[in-house]
Amino acid sequence: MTNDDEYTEYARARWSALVHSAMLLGAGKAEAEDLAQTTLVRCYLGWTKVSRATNRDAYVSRMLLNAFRASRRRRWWQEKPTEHLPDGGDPDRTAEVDGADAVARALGGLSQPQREVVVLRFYLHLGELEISDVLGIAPGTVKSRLSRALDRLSTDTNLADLDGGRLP
Amino acid sequence: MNDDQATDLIDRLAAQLPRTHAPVPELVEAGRSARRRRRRLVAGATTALVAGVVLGAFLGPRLGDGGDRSDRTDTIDHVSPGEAVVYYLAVEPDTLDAHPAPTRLTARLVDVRNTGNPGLDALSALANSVPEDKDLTNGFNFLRADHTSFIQPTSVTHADGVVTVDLAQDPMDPYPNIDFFGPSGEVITQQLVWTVQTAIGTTDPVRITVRGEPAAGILGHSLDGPVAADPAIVLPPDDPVALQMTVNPDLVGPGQVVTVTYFMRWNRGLAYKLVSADTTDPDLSNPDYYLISDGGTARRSMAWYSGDHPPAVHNIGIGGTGPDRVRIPETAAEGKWLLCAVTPLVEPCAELTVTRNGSPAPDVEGYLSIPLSNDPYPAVTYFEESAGYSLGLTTAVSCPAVVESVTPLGDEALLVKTLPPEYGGCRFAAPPSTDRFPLAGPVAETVKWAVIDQGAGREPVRVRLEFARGTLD
Repeated sequence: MTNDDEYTEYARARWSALVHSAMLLGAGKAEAEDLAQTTLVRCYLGWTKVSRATNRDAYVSRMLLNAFRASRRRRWWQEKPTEHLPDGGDPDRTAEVDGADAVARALGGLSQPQREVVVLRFYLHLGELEISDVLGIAPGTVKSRLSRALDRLSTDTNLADLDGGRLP
Repeated sequence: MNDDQATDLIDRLAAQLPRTHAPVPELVEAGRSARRRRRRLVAGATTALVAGVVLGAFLGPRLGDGGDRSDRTDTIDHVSPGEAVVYYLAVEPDTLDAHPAPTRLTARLVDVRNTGNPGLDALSALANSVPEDKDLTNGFNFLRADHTSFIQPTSVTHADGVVTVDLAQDPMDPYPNIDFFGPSGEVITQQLVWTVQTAIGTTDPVRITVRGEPAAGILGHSLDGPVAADPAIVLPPDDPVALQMTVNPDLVGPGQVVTVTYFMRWNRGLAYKLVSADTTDPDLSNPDYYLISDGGTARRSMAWYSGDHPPAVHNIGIGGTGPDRVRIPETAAEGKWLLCAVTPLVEPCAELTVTRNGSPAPDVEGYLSIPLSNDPYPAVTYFEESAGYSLGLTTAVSCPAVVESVTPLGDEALLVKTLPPEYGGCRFAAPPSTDRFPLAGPVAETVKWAVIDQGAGREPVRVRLEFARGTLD
């Protein structure tokens, strides 16, 4: 298998996860696609390094996160947390969308560092040590951020009405 | 909430997110294209860098009697008599578009004839040159197969703070007409402005005339007076650790001051960051410190923040070459560091070493001081698509002029408020002011120039205001 074949297979497999990760971090759909593209093009440029990474997904997650952070820092206007799901929901699935919207609003209530560890842990399913490596912070900091994020989600009023008042 | 519940929550949200098809062929092509551009940009960027040095140093006329039309893409470290720096059009380096139009400029060295008029020599050489690099475009002569220039300069004069370039024929709507996909008249205008300014050694604006009368425009881009150089249009060097800026001294103690000087004037941010360079591969995207404003809140001053928890960056573009004076954070550990400017594009960095036995340096009020300059400072404000009002404060810290807020008054005018004196450790001669700028049209990608009066005996400062409609997400 050539490098291009290997890259193509990887890009196809990871595209959705990268787009969704960026959206969960707070990007809109178009920006999320841009960030996924940027990440995957950078993967192409450094494929030798990427393909040799011990944990390729964690390595690429870090690239995505860096691209996301850079895009935020380079904005020339004040940031506003994303609290609403981008358009694209199915009108026949109103209840599900409402629930997801509540989750999105709850995520929007987290600080950005908390939101990052939540996405890395519970969407990309990285371990705490991997998150520590991706974020460049101590494993203990990962634990404390996760703990505080979960505490905050537990008391978030946006999630109170889900599933008849029970948290999932 | 336990881990399973959190996973369920996120899965529930992710299930609602729209699914899109992976554009794999486009990704591969974009990767290949970026790889090709990256290789070529190394040489090109270096030439742009040194061309900036040439301009910044205000070298005198460069005369000669050469006639070779070929451009050279090796490093421009010296401009000899008979040579001049000209600018060609280049594609945005980071674009992922497979067929992008060139929107940037990059410098090259060409041979010129010695007529005694360096501005005219450079423009004439540009009109007759074809870039060897096939990825570059000469906006003067790309329209025609025989590379005949539709911009034909006949004279260049420099008086009363304005450079006047007279052309033999109207370049507004040359044959073939402008209904095509290619470079815009605006970037070609900047190509002319940068080339003639560099040749003369000035940053004065450029008036373009046709047989003595004001030119209507260039390739569909209307002109309404002298044109200033856009500091953001020239490609910065590609290598972020290249010598784009220097730090002096490079051996300092915590809390001491370094002087930062840039080689070329281009659009950079006011903010700085400090990245530990004790590793072999410093990660510029994860700095240890940010030197930024905390925005419109209580302190309103530049201060160092931990890289782990930086506040949202409220920044303003500036175009000067420095020297900025930056005080190193008192908590910086001993070791090697990269001091980097935070910019919308490439982030220039310079290495320094922090030591307890560092060279002493003079104190600076606050953490950042930037000298007075007449370079334009772009202030960027976006407006919401529907509402059309300013998104809160465009908080910014800059010296000597700062735009704090811009509020559209309908579609007719903009209310621009400048910051009060002594903001963020900078000293302002100008009082706070609110000015009304009438708009010729709707608030959409409008550029206005505000002139900030600095008081008697001081030059007014021009502030470039860029406006565009936009949404946050």
